[in-house]
Amino acid sequence: MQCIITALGVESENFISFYRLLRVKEFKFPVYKNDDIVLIETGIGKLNIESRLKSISSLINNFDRCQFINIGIAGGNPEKVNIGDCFIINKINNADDGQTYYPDILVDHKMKEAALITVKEPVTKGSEEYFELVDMEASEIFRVCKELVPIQRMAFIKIVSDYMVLDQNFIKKNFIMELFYSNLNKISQFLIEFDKFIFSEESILNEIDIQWISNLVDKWKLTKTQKFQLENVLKFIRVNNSVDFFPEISDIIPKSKFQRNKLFYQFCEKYSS
Amino acid sequence: MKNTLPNLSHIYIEKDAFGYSLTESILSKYRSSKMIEINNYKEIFNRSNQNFQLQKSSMKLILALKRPPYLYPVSSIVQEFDSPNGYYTTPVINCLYNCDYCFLQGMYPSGNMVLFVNENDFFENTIFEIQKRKNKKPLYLSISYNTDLMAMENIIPICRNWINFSKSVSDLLLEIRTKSGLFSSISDIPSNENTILSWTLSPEPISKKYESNAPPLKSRINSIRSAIKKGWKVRVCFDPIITVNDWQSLYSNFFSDIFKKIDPNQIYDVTIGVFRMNKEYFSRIKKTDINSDLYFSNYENDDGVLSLPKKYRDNVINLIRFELEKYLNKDKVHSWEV
Repeated sequence: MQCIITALGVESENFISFYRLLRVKEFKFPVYKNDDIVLIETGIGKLNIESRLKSISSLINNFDRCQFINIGIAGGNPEKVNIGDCFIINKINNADDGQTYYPDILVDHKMKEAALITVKEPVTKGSEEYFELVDMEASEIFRVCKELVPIQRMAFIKIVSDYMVLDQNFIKKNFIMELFYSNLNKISQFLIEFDKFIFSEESILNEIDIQWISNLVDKWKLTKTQKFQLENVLKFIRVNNSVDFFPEISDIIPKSKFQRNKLFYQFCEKYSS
Repeated sequence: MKNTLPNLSHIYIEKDAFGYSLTESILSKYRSSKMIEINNYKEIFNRSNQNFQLQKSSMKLILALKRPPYLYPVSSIVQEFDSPNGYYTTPVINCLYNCDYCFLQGMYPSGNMVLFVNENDFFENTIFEIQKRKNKKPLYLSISYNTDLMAMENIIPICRNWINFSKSVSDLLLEIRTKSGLFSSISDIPSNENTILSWTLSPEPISKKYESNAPPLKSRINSIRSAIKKGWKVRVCFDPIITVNDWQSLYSNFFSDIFKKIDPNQIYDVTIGVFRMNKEYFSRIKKTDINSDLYFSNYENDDGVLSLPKKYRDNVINLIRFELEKYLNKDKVHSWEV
């Protein structure tokens, strides 16, 4: 499951129609989804990010196997970037506390890369202090998401919407929609490649294996330690390339701890290394 | 993993690491890599919740300054070679290869590589340790303990610089351990008495199964032959011995084959050892769901080191010794024993 995080509705609209996402009405703030993607709007700034992200955990299975992708607009330094440029972010600095975050960029992508500073208030008086890009959410999204998923499951994509000068900063909705539309192909391609990456995190045991373990734990009333040992036995079988082999299990249902332990010991003796 | 960026697609550089010759050399070689300035290598290397194995599929390079200590006493897991002054040092952390049995994946939270660019500080501290030693035996220093320096020699000339340094210092015995086939990268340097070049060799089936990304046996043997020809002290490490099915005949045939290609009389010495690992590192690796049968065998915990049960281990070492002593004087065979 991929979770796209935007700040504004205008940043979301293209994705909602492209991925045919439907509004999830149980939330008071905008959340949309289909079978593979959830999109959440956090509003401008850091304030609601943590509470809104945590409140959708039930929607994406406690973030198990979830990737977070923050996509939004950013102000840019005119000496470094052009309006409409789309960047993968490789360094995020929180201007409030100086904390710096480094997303892991492992997936091959066709976008340019840039560093980003996350600020509290909109920057409206020019860009001299800011080397490349500025936004108002990314550092907080990183801070919150790194507690929820491993680092490699986060990505940050920013499209330059302005040069951080107020007079020129009157950004129309249609203009932003157009910026996103023109980069939609690039971003959706990235999301496909990023999604594939999660398969390389496959664990040794698949869902069928886990179910098989669970059934045996129930049947034999195994302890936590025995469950752990059982997982190890099945992992050992899997790493030795027995893809669909499951050990034979006696039909006997143990009637005492002693009998259970004996059965389990015999089982481990037979199937472990 | 096909959709990953190539190794060294990103180079992270500590602010203080600019201006060093190694930094400049890397930056000029890798102009197309993304350069990202950082304050301290630990803020990226030591992050929690990283995935070592995924990072190995697209390794990044971090250029940093090493702060003291520069030299560490060798642990009991390493053969001591009759030297009470055994140390290792870490000019680079992590390795281009990714062997299943390597402790680095349990030692470090990141699969990225760190290169410490302040070489002179390492050299000065080595001289300091030589002067400080309490006996007359030379300082034995392994410089490729947490990495494979020769594998990277075409990228960064660290072996070259250390060998040149060792020439000017007395009472130093340098060991450069490798699985690389890149002896050619230093073959123009005259051999010297203060340096041992050590190659780790495994039978081809073991190398293919457990030594991911490492060069094939043939290219390592070619490197050894070239190094001997050029007059280098060459050590051969059969370590770790992996007790796969029918390991006895596998290793017996392997030694017979090796010593047809390499004259045993021209080898400085040989080391042997079974698979062993610090218990904590082993547990960390196992938690990552590593897909290797090595982590599902029954090991014995001997003072924090996991290895084959003592009886079995002794049997393996004795048999390997017996085989090797068909080709080598027994004084030349060193083994790891707890």
